[in-house]
Amino acid sequence: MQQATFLILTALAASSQHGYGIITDVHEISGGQVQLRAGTLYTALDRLREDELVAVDREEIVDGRLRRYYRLTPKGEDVLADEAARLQANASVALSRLKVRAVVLPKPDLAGGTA
Amino acid sequence: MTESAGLEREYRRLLAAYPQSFRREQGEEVLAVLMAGARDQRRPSLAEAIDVIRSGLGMRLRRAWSVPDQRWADALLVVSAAAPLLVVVAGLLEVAVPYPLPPPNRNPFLFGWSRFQGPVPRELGGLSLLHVPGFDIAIGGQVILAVVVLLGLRRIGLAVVAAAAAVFWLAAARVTWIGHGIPEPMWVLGAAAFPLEAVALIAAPGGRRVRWAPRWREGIVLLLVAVAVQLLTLLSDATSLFARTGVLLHATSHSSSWKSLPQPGIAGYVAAILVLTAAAAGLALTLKISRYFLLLVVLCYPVVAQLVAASVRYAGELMGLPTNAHLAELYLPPLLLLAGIMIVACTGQRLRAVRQPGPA
Repeated sequence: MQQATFLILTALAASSQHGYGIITDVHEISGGQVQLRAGTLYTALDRLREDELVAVDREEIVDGRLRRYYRLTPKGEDVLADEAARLQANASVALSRLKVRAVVLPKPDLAGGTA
Repeated sequence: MTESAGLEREYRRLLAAYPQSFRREQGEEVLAVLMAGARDQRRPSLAEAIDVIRSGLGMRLRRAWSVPDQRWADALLVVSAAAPLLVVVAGLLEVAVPYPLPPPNRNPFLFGWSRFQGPVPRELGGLSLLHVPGFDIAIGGQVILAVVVLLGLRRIGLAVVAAAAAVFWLAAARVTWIGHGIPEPMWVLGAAAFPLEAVALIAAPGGRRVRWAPRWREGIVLLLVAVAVQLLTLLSDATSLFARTGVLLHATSHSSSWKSLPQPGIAGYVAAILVLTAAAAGLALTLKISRYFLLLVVLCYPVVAQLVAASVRYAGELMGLPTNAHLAELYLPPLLLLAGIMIVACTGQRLRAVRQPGPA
């Protein structure tokens, strides 16, 4: 699963959101690292709707413009949960190995003296 | 015009990259998101423009190829059934109606052949072809393939294609042309037909019986495209001064490598392909039938086949010697389409492939 897709599903996991809300939420979730653009967002949403991971929740007219809200489907919840578990498992392995590495191979004291 | 109205107009232009169906359903929604994120911009940023165009074109491509469509299914059924029939007819014509060759001194193409030992043949084709090693296998394989395809046995058809292609290539590699080999036109026709048939059989839906019936509008467009292919192919042969010059140069050069072939000859084929591509793009935009790009590629295969042949063997045969095989290759596709249109008009029904459970 691509990072943008994961972040979009994560944004929708909290509540249904419209397009611009998803963009700002993704920016916040990623700590400012990911700036989703409208083209990329709606391509992803089109694919997610085809795969039945997201669905249209409701529509509104705001300032004369159509605003459509999207929600996560039960299937989307399962897929997001599986992907989150996978990423967490991978991250846990990486962190545990780094801990072991820190114990076995302590970093040299660069301030002075011999190792 | 206010700045926001100008910005909105620019965004709408970018949104033209998306499929029309998407713009109709979600165009305003995407526009609203773009405008919400615009801040104090007067026009879309380069990154935004690239993002929208790339996404739109990617969506067009994905929608065109990912979702099965009955028109694609019809088109691929036509190709999978017509391709082997086309080659069989071409082979039969090659045997039944030999093409008489003009004397060498009156044909610039044969000028180069005088360097070969042995007599220059006086005709191409005829009953003597039946004794040519590999020819009977090549045509026999196509007959079997045509029957198998019409019965809807798609996987068996693929196996027949692979076997016939392997035997054909082995036979062609072992013999030379003069006097006792598979004629160049048939070699190219067969070599081009096998991948065409394999692709169609892989992509076409399975079915017990192959039925095909285009609608009037689509059929007419297909017919026009097929006729355009044939006309441009004819313009590339040696009847024109443009190609004749290339043939003469090639016949005296002793070379059949890609880079040393005369530029006018190759350029003619390349120009034909580019013109056809532009015509297809124009048709797709004006008539909104972009899914027929596949059929256009199929109908271009005579041109592509001649281009490929030019890179590995003599180009002169196809350019300077239009045999009956060439004529069948050139005119049968539009005739098939015309026949299909008439069948639909007379019966008044649209026929569809009947899917059978289980593998074919």
